[in-house]
Amino acid sequence: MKRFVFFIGLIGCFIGCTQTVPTHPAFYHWQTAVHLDSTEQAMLQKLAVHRLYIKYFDVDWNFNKGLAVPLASAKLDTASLREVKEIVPTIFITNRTFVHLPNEKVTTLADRIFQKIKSLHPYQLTLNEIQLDCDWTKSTREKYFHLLKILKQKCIVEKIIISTTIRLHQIKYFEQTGVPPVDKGMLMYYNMGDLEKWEEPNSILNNAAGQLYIDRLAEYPLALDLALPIYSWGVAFRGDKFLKLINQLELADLEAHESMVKIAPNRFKLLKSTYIKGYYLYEGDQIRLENCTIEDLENAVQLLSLDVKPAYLSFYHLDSAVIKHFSYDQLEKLCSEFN
Amino acid sequence: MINWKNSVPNSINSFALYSLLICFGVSLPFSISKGCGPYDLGFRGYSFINPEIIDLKAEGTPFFLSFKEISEYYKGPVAEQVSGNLEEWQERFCKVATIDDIGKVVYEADADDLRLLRNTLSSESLSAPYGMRDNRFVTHLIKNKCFETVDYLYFAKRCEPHVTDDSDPWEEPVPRNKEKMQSLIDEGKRAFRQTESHYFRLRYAYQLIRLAHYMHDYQQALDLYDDLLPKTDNDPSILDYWILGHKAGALMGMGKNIEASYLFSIIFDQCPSKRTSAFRSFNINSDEEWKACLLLCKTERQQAVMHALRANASHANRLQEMQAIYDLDPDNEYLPLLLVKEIKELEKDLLGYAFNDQNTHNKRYHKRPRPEAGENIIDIQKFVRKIVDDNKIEELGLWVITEGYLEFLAGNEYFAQRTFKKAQEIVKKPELKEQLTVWELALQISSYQTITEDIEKRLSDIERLNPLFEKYKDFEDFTNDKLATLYRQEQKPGKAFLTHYPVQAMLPNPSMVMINDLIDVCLKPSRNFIERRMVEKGDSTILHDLQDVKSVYYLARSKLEIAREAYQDIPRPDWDDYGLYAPYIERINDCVHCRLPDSTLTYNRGELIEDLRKKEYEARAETDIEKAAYRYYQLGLAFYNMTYFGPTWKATDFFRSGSSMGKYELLRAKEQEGVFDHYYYPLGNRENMDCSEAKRHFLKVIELSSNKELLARALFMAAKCEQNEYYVNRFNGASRTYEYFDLLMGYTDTRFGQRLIKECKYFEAYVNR
Repeated sequence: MKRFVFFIGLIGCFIGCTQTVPTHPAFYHWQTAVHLDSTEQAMLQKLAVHRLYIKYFDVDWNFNKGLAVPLASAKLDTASLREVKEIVPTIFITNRTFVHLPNEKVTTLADRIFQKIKSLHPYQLTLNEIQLDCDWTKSTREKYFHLLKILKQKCIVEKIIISTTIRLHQIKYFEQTGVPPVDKGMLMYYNMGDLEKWEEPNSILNNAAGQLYIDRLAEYPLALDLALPIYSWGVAFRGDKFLKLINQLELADLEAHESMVKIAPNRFKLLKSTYIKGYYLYEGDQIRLENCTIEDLENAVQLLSLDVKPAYLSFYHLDSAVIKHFSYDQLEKLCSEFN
Repeated sequence: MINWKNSVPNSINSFALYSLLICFGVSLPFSISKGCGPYDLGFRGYSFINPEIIDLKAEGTPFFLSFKEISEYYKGPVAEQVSGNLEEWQERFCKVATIDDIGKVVYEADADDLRLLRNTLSSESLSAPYGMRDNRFVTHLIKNKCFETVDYLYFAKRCEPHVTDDSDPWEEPVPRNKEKMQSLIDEGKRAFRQTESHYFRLRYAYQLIRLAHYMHDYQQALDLYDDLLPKTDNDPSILDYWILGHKAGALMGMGKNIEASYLFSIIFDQCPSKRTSAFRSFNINSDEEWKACLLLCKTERQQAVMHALRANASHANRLQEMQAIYDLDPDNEYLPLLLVKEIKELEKDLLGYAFNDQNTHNKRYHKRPRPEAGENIIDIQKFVRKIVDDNKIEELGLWVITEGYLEFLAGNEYFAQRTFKKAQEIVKKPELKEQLTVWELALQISSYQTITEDIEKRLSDIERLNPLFEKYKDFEDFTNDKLATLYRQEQKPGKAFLTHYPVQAMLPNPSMVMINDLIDVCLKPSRNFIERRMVEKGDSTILHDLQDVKSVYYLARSKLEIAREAYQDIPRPDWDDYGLYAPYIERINDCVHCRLPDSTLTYNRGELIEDLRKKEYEARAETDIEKAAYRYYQLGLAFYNMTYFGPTWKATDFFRSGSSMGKYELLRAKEQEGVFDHYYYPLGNRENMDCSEAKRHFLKVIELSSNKELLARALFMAAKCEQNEYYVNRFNGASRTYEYFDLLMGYTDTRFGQRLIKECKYFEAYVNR
């Protein structure tokens, strides 16, 4: 009996211990020039953000050279990052890289990625985690997972963990898509709707659609952190046909535009051809504005907190034009929902 | 879509199929042109535009259109720049040397080679550097003591590392050595002043402005432009635009994107070798910038070019831009290019949509037809009619014939015919006349509503005699697809099939309606060209081959009478041509590909059918029950061996796939009434997995015989049938039963039972379980 009580106590202690680990806020930084302005720095400071996921570079297949190449390497302004305690280098690899990459070149690519990360990483910061982002498919999974395994072997020696981004469909159908051989995942809870359909209410964050993907979240075999969207964009259509995305488009841009008429909430029509954020659109074209309200984010957190207890809740992405729509308290409250 | 010329799966019943391949090889339409093999996901449709209706060598042609013919003129931006430069070198040196020789000096020689060449020029005794001695350009430079040329080349070669980037993309980029670049600019300025040739002064100016641009010293680049260009007085050169490009780049770097974009629009219009990069650099972000840029234009033509640039953006509304171009400059050469680009898009949406057999593929991979295609064509028709009615354009012929073609694409065949007829009197240029004839021919083929002997003859005449049919490759597919549709409509499924595929494509799952349709064609007293091409083989036809296929079909369904009937017209001496089979072989372990002993008794298919019928009769008529039972056993063996699981499967099937026992394949086949999907075969692949006929005979043995040895053998074979039945249905909820294995347990003391325990591990395990 004594032994039984001891085990119950031990289990209780574990549960208790687990519950006391708080969810920390973090941000993604996805631009090439990594220079934080005062608004961004203030956000990090007030929200006590110690960790940034910074996109160090992309990897894509260069058809002329016939090899995988790094693109858009980050230029870190370390002075503006001095309050940041930890950077997680994040590497986006296009799926087509693995379509064309020969099997025997996977090890070389892993070596090169690892070396390049180290060359870009500020020497004064310890490298604790590396994150890879790739929307792999059935045909590229083998090579991508092989690359992850090789990277993991390298990282073990230096006590660095490897994480990958996990898309919603990879949660729901994990038996089919496979689970990456890494230490943890970052669930990207966004881009869940049908972007190219005019009727779509909000392809960035649509909890009704998202809910359909997370019914098996608790079963997912990897520990998960969580990424939530705070960005906005415009989705341009001609008739029913999707045309393009207009990044960082805001309601004010559209409401103030004299060539634009509001036809429904967050939906606009062009009365005459005009340039919008550098894109030329024609009379009759339509725009659906997509953004994330704090209510949507709160609902998302409520849904997800039932099944996931992330060590980090990372907001996508850190940009003064994006974060100005949210207060520190609002973002802090989202984190505290997990605690 | 496969190309049957190159693709025949290995496991197909080789004798039967290859004999058919040989038979049909020379006489059937093998080619399936819409696609280049299993992984070609490209658009599968037709186009009947004569590339010559627009000027292939016109400035904007390769940029706007992507005909194969055009791509041969230009091989991409880098190649364009190199070839443009070399051509100019050659022209300036009065073509004393080939492009190759000039290229070796300008692009391949390194700085040391050029320094040695400079020494050779200064010396009376030195000969040309090694490797350059046979170069006629070098010989010319030495003979004429072309110091300015070689000095320039040496200077340019030293500038090269500072303005190109060949470094490993994974290495940290080496920062530009601005000090060295500035010293080269200073040196170049001195050389510029000392150089007499205005052409080389221009080249120095180019090198210096480029260096300053790449140093990001944009003001210096502009100053050099303003300082040096007035001091050159050369004939027009492509370098003028290259230099302008660097000026535009410097302006862009300084944030003056309006001025920069204006210059890029000029480069786009005037300099083919920089067109692509100028298009990419053109950067207007607002209505105000656009208006300001238009104000910089000196002519309406320049304004029209700005619209042409905008028309080429991926989501441009080309029609609106075309209207703007037309209003500004009706004879602008970009207008026909944009028109042809629009026609090509509409062809993808609408041409032959009623009969293209690849519509599903195009919808899936290319989202064609676009939902807006219907509205688009109406808008373009309005625009084209307006241009024709305005009659302001000098060369109206293209617009007149396009009006007709758009009517055809929109489905108004009567109006199209009328417009084409009217156009015949207006169009004079030979390339437009040809285009008109081609479109009329497409209209003629497309407009047939039914298929008759007369129309078949007309179509075959077009194919054989019209040179445009050969010249415009898509006519073959277009005609075949149309024909197939008409044949299907007229209940001629066999002929419809053969317009796209050879007969062997049908063999893994033969269709009796198709076979009978083709047999009818073979039996016709006279055949037209198309029919001859389909069924004739040398002096004869494929009639006997088709009858053999028919008998295979019925044999697979155990319908011996009809199978025999199908064989009756094939002369007995020819029966061996369709393979030899060993139906009565007895094996404990199934092996479909194992070699048979030489002593095995074999039959051709005709004899096999006769023998099976004979055995059936004998079994029924036999008064000795044991003998009757033995006949039934033999029949059971034959029917078993001829299934998917037996070594004689080829007697009832032309193709067998090992992967057909996979879970996905079995479930899918169940949904499709036993037909397995197969990439190579449009009708799929049917496997003879049904052992019920064999089992029926083995049960008859069990019912009749008292011979324990024979009973043991029959029970074992019935157990195999039971097991196969489970394997085939296991993913549909079937459970494994052991009815005949259980019965067989009572026969382990027989010779056959003992042999079974030794040779059949499964049975041994069952006995010892």
